Amino acid sequence: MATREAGKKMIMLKSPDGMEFEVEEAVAMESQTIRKMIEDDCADTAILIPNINSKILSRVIEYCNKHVPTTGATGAAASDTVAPAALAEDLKIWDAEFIKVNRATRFNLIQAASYLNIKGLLDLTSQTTIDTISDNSLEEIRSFLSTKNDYLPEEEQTIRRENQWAFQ
Amino acid sequence: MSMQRESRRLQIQPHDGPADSTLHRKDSTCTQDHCSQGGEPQCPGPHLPEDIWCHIFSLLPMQDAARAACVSHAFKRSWRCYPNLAFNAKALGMDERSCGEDEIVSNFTSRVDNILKNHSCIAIKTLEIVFRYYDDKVCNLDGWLQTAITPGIEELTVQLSTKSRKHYNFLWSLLANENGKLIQYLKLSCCAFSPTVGLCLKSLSRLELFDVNITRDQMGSLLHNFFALQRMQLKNCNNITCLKIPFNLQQLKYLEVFHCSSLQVIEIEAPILSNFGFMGLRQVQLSLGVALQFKKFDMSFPGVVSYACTNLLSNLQYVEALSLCSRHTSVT
Repeated sequence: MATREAGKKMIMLKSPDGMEFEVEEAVAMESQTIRKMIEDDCADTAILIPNINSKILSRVIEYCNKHVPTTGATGAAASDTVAPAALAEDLKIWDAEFIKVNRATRFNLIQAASYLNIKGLLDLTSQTTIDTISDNSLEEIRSFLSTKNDYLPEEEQTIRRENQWAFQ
Repeated sequence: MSMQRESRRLQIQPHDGPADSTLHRKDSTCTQDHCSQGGEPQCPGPHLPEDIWCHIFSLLPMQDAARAACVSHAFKRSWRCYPNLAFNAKALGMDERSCGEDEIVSNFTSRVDNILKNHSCIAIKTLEIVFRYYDDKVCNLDGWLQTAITPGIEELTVQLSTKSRKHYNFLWSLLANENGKLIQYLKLSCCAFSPTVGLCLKSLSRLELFDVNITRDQMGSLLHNFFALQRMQLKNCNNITCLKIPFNLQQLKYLEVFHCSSLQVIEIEAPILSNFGFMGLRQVQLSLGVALQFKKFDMSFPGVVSYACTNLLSNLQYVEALSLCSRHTSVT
């Protein structure tokens, strides 16, 4: 396993398109899936991350880098020196910038977050879709999410009748 | 590591700036969200697997999830697996001000019947039934609970009130064996207790009983099986005369007992209880079996100050915040 600075263990992550990413172990362990692999000693060389291309993987790593609890030179947690509220506000602004991506990237990020089991990233990436469903008409939801209406007219009538209470 | 591999390796370092603009802005030229969000023809795009749609649906309010079921078959399947059913007037889209009581009861009943008839109940994790017009002649509450309580249930709330003040006879047997294995939170209001065997709620960490008909012995036998309990609140449970909090509640930290009118004695043996609150209209005899370290200790009943000075203070050596309140005197 690669090691860089003293005390900082490095992990190699490989995407299916052949890119390799060297990341700090603590950053990689933001993913519960990778954490389990490391804890089970399945990560001695490089970890292949299937189905997540390098473009998406690099963004996932970027997210994990930002969200990993950081430690300063003295070993004190950053939150000891910076007010937690300011830190949370900074992260919120950063997250809002991070998620300004097109739908294709967002859906890929959702899938990556789900596979790698990174709850914060899954919540963040899902939120736009949740808002889209909550705030729009059925036609708009179909349009925004590229979902086809695959109901036959009578099927649609049945489900609309069944869930009529939800339109009130 | 070979040179070829070195040449294709990227090193990602922590940095504080927003997304790397050179790397990520280029994909904004392809399938932009707003090319569909402007209401233009649909762009082909990636699709999410159904398990992820189920997750996204689980984060929606119930009414939005049910409405979205009308979008497509896949969305309908995600709605059928919706795990957090909240049956209350608001979530069911009912305006209680604009209809009469009979209509409210009948609408509530038909909506719940309808949802449960088509739902994949094995997916339900949280079930909440809050209904202040509960009418046992119309609502098939037994049937709803029998359908919706499965081994996956983690949180259950049954909060009723009835005109007749008749208590609903909650079927505790529904939580026996496998069905109660994962339950962490249980809140019952206006229910009665019927003893059952095999009731061992191993994961239950929070219990709230409001206006529940339960006796001292029934409560005692219940508590002996709730090993994981951390918080308990009893309110208006007027049949309990003596409340014994046994030593086997090793994780119980919070205990609140409010307005249980027949209660005369509270015996606490749980070893790490740190927050205690009591409120009542008459004196209660409190016995502390172990030397507890309280963060918060509140008692309120007439004459509590003199009672505490005589009987309690020698046992309360470790209290961070003490509040004693009687009708006429208050000491904090």
